[in-house]
Amino acid sequence: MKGSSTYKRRIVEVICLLYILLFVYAAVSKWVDFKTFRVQLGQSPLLTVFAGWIAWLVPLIELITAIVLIIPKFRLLALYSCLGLMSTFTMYIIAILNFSDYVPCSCGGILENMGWTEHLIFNLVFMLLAVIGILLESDTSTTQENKIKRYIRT
Amino acid sequence: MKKMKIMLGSAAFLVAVVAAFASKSDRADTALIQYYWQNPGTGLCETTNCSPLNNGQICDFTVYQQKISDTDCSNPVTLAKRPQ
Repeated sequence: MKGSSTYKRRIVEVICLLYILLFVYAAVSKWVDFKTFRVQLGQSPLLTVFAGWIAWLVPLIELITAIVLIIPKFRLLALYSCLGLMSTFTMYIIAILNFSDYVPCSCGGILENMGWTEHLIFNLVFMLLAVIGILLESDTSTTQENKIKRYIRT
Repeated sequence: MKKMKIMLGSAAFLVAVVAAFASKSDRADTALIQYYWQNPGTGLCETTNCSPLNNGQICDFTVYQQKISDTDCSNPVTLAKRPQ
């Protein structure tokens, strides 16, 4: 029983590390080359009007999520945020691929070398990881809460 | 255990920051490339803003890396073509 719980915690740990790497890399890459990112967002038919503040907001949310992921107490909340962000990015790519003649993504760094299909698969894999992380983290949190409650009663 | 988690997370954070800065110079080189397309209307090899790096106009036509003459382009790039 204890072994299974440790195993689950390790899986959550790996998922969180992957998300920290992804979001920090993406956020810093956007800020490092901010001018290009801002222009790319301005070219998007869906985001042109909001390009100014989205260019700041997206990397900021990514960075905050990554920082919150580091703090064990708030991991579940951060994993929900990861799932929300990845779902938004995925929906954006799907929408723009189907309804626009213009380019879908302004991803940071090496991620912009991916084609559309690869990008969708990449996002879907990360969404799946977030779901697995949420399920495992809520499971281990509930087990720990129950243990504490039992300990307080005795 | 908690300290270990925080240390691992912080290490991943720093690695990602370094990687982001390291990949910047890479992108600066590729961003300067001018791409071409074969205009079916005029038959000429013309410049295009459609980029295989997913910037600018989406590529629903073949993009080339080189212009041999006014009418001929070479080295096609297919990475960023709209998926069929």
